Amino acid sequence: MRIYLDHNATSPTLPEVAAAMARVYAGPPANPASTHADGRHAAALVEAARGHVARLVGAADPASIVFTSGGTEADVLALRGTFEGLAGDERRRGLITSAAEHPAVLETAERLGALGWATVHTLDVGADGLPTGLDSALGPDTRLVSLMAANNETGVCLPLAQAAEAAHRVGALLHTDAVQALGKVPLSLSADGVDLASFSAHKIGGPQGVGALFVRPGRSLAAQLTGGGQEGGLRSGTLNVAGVVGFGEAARIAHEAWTARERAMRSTRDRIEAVVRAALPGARVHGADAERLPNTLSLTFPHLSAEALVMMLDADDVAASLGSACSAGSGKPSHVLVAMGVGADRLRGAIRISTGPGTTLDQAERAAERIVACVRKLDALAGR
Amino acid sequence: MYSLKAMEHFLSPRNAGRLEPGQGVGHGEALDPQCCGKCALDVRLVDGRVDESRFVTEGCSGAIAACSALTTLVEGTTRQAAASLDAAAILQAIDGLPDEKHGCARQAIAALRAALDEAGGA
Repeated sequence: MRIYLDHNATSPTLPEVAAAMARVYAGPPANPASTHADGRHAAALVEAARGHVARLVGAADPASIVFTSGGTEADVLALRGTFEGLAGDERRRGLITSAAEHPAVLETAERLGALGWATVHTLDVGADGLPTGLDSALGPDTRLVSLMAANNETGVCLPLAQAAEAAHRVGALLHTDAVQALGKVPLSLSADGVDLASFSAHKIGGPQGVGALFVRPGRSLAAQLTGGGQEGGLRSGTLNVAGVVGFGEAARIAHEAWTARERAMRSTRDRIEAVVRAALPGARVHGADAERLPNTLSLTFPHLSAEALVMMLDADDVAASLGSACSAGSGKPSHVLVAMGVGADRLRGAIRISTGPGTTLDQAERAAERIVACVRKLDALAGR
Repeated sequence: MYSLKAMEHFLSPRNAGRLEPGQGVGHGEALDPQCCGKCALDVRLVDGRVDESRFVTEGCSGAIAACSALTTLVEGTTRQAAASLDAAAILQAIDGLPDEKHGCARQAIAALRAALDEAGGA
């Protein structure tokens, strides 16, 4: 029986989600923009889903949830949409982000800089995984601060209210990539003053290909997909109704079963961490000194190939990840760990374990034992 | 994608370890800090033939498979035949490696040649 420990890459689709989506596919044609009864039914399903997502993220107004094709599209809409045309304020070109952001933000920021739409300032990251120097980087020219709510590799969480307050002090907005935070740490976007936040359904048991951008009421963005004017004009294109319904169902379950899900993720992650650290003194946990997601464990081993370890674990029926799934296979060390100052002797040996609400303690125990056994085997192959 | 042969060498590597220093024993190393890390290969030459070969590596799956396969290729061959082996011979022996792992085979060959040099003409 395989043990899946890569929930930060994608999570198993919840049975309730698959059932809800199947009902949409089996039902009448469903374009929520249609005025007939079938269209109105589809629109009602979409609005119910919007409400579930809004509740999960602490958005006071469900209309602030704009459905997208995923987290990357939400990030791109937030960044490009903020800077396109500069909304009549040419003086505010500043975009502040950090070296540990997801490539969807980093690459988009780089593009905005190349286009001359933004002046990009990339914050360094401390050994604890949190960005440093935000206050001194902020200025009267800052338009947007984009910092992730929780890092996909280390799980390190940003104090959102504090970041929003800092951005607002200079009249800037805060965008946060909250793809990994969703369903794992409580979010209160409205109360915390967050202006824009990106989400993805498939990290919480929803379908792939669906996401959302939270847009605080009153914030204006330039649409990146133009056409029929769906989603309040911010994201044209017929909605993926089944996907949106699946996202809503996953959000409903994440909200209603919060305590049990959080406890399962945390207890299994903690168990793996404890067993591995006790057996392998050379193992180091990254981000352990900061507030972390309850399910994420970033581990490095000195002078060891994480690629070999992940492949060996895979052959032993444990699915773990090499750094992040997004950088796996690139042959490059994790840009997050590089930014955190992790030494060269460890950069090749970084793996990410991410548990899920369905992970059991028995699975955690068995996975931890296999990690220890594989590391010892690789150490032996290295002559240690 | 890895071939079945490459996976088999990776998961059940042959000739892992070191040879005791001695008459006819040569030790060679090669370094690839990005992917394979350090790999070391030992050979023992007896009467102009490779009598034994061992390897250790901090490397990735490709490096382990390549080193393992190389030790099986060289054992029993003449020194000259061992010296003429190249990365393509390793890749052929294990039905290939992913393109980005071809450097692992080249690294193993570099370690072998250094080991043969150190072993001299024994």
